[in-house]
Amino acid sequence: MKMDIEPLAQGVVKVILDGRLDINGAGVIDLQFSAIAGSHRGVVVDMTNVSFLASIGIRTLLLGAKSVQRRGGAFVLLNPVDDVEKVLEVTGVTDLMPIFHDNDAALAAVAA
Amino acid sequence: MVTDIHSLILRNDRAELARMMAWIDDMVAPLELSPETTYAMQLCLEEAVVNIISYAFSAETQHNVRIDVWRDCNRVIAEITDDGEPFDPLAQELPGQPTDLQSAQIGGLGIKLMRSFAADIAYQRAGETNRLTLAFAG
Repeated sequence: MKMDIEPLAQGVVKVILDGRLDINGAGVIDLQFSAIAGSHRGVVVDMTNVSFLASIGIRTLLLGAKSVQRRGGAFVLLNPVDDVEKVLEVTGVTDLMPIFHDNDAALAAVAA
Repeated sequence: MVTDIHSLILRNDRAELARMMAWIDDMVAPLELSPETTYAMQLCLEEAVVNIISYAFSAETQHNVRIDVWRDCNRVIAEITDDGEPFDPLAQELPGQPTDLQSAQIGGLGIKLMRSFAADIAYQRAGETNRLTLAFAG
């Protein structure tokens, strides 16, 4: 699992994930992901290249989202593939954070 | 048509999960697994095995988890056996659907995923072993 950061604006960032968000993938990014979530008020997580998502990966996303939201910020997911989106639906995550399939809409949601 | 049984033995170590994923990838051709079934198997086995490693064993002792997989006509069966403490993942209390982010619980999501992605799940305590059987369509 790889994680790249793309600053978008002051306090707003896009996190680009690439790989499998299973127990090993989550372990690789946990610390850095949590640090990014803890230091920004707008986070777009680009899931385009996340090929697999297990509950341990959802944990990483949820903890980040809680951290951003607690401080009044916005945390959104962008472009999960079908299998991954099904995992997000089954676990109810789709009711907890916005999920966009359009980059502009995602950016607008965190810019406010 | 019932195929040969494919078997894998894992140590109770999170580092073994990568080996399990590769083993499933290697079964795609011989068991004629569709992409959907492959994803479902990898997800359910990840959730089940991580649970077993986290809860069924006391720390520091080495244990094994055995997975047997075979195709039986239009179903693929995965049987997970471990010699840990009695642990029925299906008997754990499920959290309700989360209503808001701050109160959303992280525990219990694995079971929800298994119930959704596997066509059938059954647990049995047999002697000193836990046996979790998952069936997948396709």
